[in-house]
Amino acid sequence: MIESLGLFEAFRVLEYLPIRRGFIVLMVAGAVFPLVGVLVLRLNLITLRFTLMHAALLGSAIALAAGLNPLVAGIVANTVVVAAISRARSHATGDAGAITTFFMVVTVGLAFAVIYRFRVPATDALQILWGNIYAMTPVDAWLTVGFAIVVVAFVVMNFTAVSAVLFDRSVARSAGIREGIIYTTIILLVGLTVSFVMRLIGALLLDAILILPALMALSLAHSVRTTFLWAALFGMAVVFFGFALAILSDLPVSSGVTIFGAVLFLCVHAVTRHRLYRSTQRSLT
Amino acid sequence: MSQADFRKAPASASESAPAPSFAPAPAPAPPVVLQLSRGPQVLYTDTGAWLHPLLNLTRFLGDPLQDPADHTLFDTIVGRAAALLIVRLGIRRVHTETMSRRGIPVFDRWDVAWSSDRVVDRIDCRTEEILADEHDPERAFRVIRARALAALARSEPSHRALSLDGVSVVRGDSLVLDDIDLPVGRGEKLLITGANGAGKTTLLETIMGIVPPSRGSVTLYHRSTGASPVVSAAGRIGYVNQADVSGSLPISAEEVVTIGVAAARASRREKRERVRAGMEATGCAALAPRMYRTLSGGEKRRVTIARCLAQQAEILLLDEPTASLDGVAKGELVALLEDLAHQYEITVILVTHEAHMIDRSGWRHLQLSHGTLSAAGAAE
Repeated sequence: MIESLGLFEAFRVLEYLPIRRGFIVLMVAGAVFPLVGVLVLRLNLITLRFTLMHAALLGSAIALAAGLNPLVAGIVANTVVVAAISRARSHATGDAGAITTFFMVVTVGLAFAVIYRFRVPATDALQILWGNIYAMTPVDAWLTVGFAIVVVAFVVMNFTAVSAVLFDRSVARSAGIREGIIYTTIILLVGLTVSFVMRLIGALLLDAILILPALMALSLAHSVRTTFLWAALFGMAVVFFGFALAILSDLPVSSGVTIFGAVLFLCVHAVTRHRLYRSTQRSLT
Repeated sequence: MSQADFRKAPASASESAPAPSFAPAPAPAPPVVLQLSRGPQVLYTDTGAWLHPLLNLTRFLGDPLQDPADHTLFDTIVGRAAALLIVRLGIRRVHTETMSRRGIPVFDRWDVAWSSDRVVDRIDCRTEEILADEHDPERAFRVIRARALAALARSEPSHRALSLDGVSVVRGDSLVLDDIDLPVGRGEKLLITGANGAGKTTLLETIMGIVPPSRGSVTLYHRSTGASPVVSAAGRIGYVNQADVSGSLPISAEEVVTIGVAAARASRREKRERVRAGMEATGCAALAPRMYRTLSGGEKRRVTIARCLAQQAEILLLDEPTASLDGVAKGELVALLEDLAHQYEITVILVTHEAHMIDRSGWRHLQLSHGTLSAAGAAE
């Protein structure tokens, strides 16, 4: 009862418009971006995700040095990297993994070279890595929601094709699915999620929303459909209770969400292990 | 092997004299070499060569005759292969101009009343040699059908499902496929064996268009796969790959089969129906809600083949499908493939290093070694 009252008290901060706006965007992000997390994990795009973070940092550094908009520059930098990787993987000679790793190292090196050479304040450049949901403008919020709608529309409208690409790309190709287009779109979505949403809600929060719910969903679900549903549900739960934890504990929202996400992940992991143990015992008897 | 190695002789007037009711069509029309009659009524005639008239008659009749006593067949030459086909059709009265002694035990065993103008020891035909010890009409039919399809594919491009012409594939410094010529007939079952690393998977990937040939061309149903091989091949080929592809993805068996209809231009209802029909045809409908990765190897193969059926693939490419299966499951898989190939007239190309697992009757058997294909096994 006391805890319930605490939770209730925590959400009284939503009376403040910037916090309410941030919370709504956070809930939308929690419901939608774990879907991208499923794609990242299943297609082994973790390296790509870091590469895009570094590319966004490079774009931001160049923009600050040239007096341009860092967000736009970050998106442009990521789009260039996605195009380069897609082009490399479309040629038989290209090793997409090696090229992604190459870009991951080169972009961060160049970013710091630009920061040093043009005396860009590092804290300004690194701003792209930690957004602040309370500092969101209405336009930022609508952009995030709009992008979330694009992600959901892509997954829903291409559900079977996306499932096929997650299952096996050569099978998808033989079934007549234009898997190259689907795969490139997925990479583009990941790139946009990283560069665009990260700027709005921050890198740490994005990781907590992107990866942890997807991990939990993949361990519990029995089909691709339920994987996406579980990921969205876990994402919303992580965001909701993580937000409350942050308010109650006077922590940054990103920390609260990450900590709650980690605890929930451990619980889910324990449940799946227990389920596996019982299933094994049943099989033995 | 070819159609020409057993060409039926034109029936002359004197040779056909003993059976007036079976008299061939008058000149100048091509001589009738096969005729099915019911009393005085002629039901079917054919002027083709080799065993094609009997195969055509098989298609014409559809099912074996239900009232064999009323029917009489005239065939110019009957060897063991023809005798087995005739028995399979349910025909029990036959007249021929030339009867091979190898065919007589077949007729005797199945109580076929036969008459002949002359009896010869043997007919010079490769098919006769292959079927010399065969007693099962169904198995014989499969062998003959496979040989007929292969022969047709060689001589008639319009009967080809697939054709590789002078295909070479270079990977790195090594020549994986070397000047491969491979016509494959529609509905043919082709078995390609070879050691690990012989290039079997590369051959399948080249057919699918995933690996472009360094030289030569791949043609699917008269269309060169050209500059966009993957797009050209898309949908016509059902691919059963070697690896256990599911990994850790939680995907249900039904979702796997649904992949087959992802690119189909059909209504939702029709797609659902195709998925259901594919799963029922392969006996895996009950597995629909199960998670794919928890299925046994044999169940996974059934689900995968159901996906290809839902896709309405015309060519089925199977890469080591019997790997990781136990003996029973291997046998069941091969039987399923043969049934489906027969039922749906799907062209099946199976590559494996476990040729001993497959009863090669009914399969054209080629060996891939050092990048080149050559005839192998009893079926050749």
